[in-house]
Amino acid sequence: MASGVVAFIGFDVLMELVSSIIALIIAYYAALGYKALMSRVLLYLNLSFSVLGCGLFIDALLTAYAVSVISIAESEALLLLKASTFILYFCEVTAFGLLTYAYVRQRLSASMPMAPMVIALLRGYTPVVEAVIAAILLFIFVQTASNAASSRSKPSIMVSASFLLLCLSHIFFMLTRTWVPSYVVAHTLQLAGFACLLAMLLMVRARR
Amino acid sequence: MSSRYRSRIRIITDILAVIRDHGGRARPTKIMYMANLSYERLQKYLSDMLSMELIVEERGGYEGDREVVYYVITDKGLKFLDEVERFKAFAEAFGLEL
Repeated sequence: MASGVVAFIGFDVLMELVSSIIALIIAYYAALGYKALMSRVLLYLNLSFSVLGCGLFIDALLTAYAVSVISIAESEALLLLKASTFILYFCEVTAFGLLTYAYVRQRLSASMPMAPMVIALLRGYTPVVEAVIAAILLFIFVQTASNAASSRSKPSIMVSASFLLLCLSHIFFMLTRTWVPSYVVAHTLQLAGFACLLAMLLMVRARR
Repeated sequence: MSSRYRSRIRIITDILAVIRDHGGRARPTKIMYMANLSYERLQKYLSDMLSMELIVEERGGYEGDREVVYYVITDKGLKFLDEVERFKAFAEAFGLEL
């Protein structure tokens, strides 16, 4: 396989793995809180980030495996790529849907451009699903931004920024079919979003 | 005090904070007023908190013909307050309340 393709897949998988690890750290922290306090809010945060982290992790592993066997079993690899993308979509919609439910509930209380394009198309990013996820993330961003505006605390601002970055990343994923470099931008924004969440967690822990 | 909805954890935290701030033990009437709870709700929460071992009941003699009852915060109760503080900031960063 061409080195450009390998580098692109490596970037894709690495970004997703790092994002998934950060999501799982957030989920673990929320789980500690749920265990200690039995708070539903922490349960929703735990479930949401667990599902998101698992989805990203599974997608990264399946993508890496599918691409490694694509030359010997093309149809199976393509099916695997579609399945991994479907799993990721399902996990993202479920995760952000859970988070949205928590808010609603609380308120009622490019070296080889062709290769990335092929991979991006094989990955089957669906603009409609990306738009749905971006819309959900926009809703969460508005909720967190209003909280950040009133509390003006650094952790709230970081969470708000993370959901803005995640929302933007899905808008760029949506553009992947028409503008290939957006795939790289989307992954970078997604990782930056998760990095903001990690920074928030470190700030919250350092406060003690 | 705000008329906003208080979650179960918020009410338990308020009760524990009242007891802690009164030297570790308080009478039910004091808790009732300071935590802004009706008698019935207070009794329900105190009963739950006793079973969770966050507080213990202590009998402290008589006032006239009535036995005086105090509620004393336990180590588990103090730890619970610490945990609430720890995770409150985390939930609040998401704009959510415990």
